[in-house]
Amino acid sequence: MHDEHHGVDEVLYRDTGLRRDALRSDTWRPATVLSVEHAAEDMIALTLRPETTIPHIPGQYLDVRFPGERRSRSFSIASAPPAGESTDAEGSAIETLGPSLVGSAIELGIRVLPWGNLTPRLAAARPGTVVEIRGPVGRGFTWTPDEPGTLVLIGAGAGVTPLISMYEHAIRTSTPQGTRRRSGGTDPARSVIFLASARTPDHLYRYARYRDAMTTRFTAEEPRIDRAFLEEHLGPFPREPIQRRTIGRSRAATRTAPTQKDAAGVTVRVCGPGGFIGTMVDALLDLGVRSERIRSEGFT
Amino acid sequence: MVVNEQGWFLTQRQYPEMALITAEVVEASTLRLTVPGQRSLDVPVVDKPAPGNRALTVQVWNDRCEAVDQGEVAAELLGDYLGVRCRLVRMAGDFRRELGSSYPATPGITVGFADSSPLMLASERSLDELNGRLEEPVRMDRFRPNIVVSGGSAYQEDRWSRIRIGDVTMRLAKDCIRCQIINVDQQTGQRGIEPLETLGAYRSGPRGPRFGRKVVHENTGSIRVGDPVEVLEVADPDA
Repeated sequence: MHDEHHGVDEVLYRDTGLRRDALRSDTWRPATVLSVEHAAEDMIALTLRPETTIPHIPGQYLDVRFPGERRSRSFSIASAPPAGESTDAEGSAIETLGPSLVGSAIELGIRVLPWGNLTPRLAAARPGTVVEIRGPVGRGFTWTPDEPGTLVLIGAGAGVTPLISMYEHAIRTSTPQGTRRRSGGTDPARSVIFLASARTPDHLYRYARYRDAMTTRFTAEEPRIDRAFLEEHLGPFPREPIQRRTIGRSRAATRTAPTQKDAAGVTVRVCGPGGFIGTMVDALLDLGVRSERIRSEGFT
Repeated sequence: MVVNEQGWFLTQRQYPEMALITAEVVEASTLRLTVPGQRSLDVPVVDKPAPGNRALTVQVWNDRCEAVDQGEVAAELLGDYLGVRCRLVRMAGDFRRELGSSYPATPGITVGFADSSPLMLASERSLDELNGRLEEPVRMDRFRPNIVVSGGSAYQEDRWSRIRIGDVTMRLAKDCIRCQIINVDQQTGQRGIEPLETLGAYRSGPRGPRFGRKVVHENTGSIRVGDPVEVLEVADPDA
């Protein structure tokens, strides 16, 4: 009788277009809470099973709300895309190793604000609770296996959550033979450098699970990661002078700045509070990393 | 600025319905607050803490500022509307919030409770270009600029580093990096996924999606709608 009911629903959805709506990342759809786990002192790992899955690209996030409510918050997806699928930046599958997984579990990293409305209720949600999600969203801060070079992930506190998705996906799409591509041929096995900082290990999302993958710095003092730390773990790049022109004047201002040639070949993803982003990007540019190889997400 | 009980600033990021609150200065010492479904409330501006009270310490991003509580009536109006206990505050008259270290060219300039710079400039041609990529065009008020320029070409302001408008010369210090507030329809207070999704796809720089420029004035003076923009200095945005 249950199957019969589903069959009738499918016909209804097809005729009314409701199923199509459920596959749009800009519409709200149901998801069931599978588990809520302690992930850091002020963070939980919320695992959901959406009614319909739209595979995400690492770096993306979901909007979450309780059914019937207007207030929603955005949370980074900490899990990698469903095993067997990887997508390029346009969202097309690079390679599908098996059937698409509908309704596969997705993990969100959530910082719980005690004075908040939504996050404390999510932290207290029991398995089976139905919430609503929208997404995945975020096209400015993603990583896909077709990005060149060493993947450098730099995160602070809750900022490591989308980076973990990138890390997991990089590891899964990188084999001893290299990254497989639909077009054939392989890329060399990828290396990943994962730099993370927080006040203490207890403030770093899923530290116990990822401690071997991360190079960390724990301190109460800011900035926790500085230029020296980056230089130690990434190394410097060549420098070249550039010029700035003043209209209508014959003098030109010059200043020394990193070369636009990035010899080492890195792709950098930075995530954390806004001030952290500023410090890191300034340092990376100063070290010679090309601006187009860097993408950041500031948590506001 | 509205702060919670911990003194942290509240914005449309957490409360998109704040878009529907209007605040209008009527006479020098009165702020008229209007929230949906309520009659307007005239709040006398409080310059100094009430006798026996001290100034509050509030936090906006990394800056701790001294502020003056604007009283119970405003707090109740806002608290009832937002569903969270909060206070309306004004920066203390003798407190100076200096620009951060990312504005080295204009030392000594101070700012109020804005995110970082006193002014933000955007261009209509840039908005037209963005809207050409969206299913539903958005209005300029999503971006909350102080100065809107017309004419020229899309994203020309990326290259401007110093301009003059009227009596005032200004430095365009850096790109304005956008957040979720641009996804809030300012007429309804509802948050969607655009235009940040599209902006992120084609206007992301190393620090995030860019629209508009953060501006610091080099002197005080008058500017008027209709004034031409004189570009004094340009810089390669990729430098």
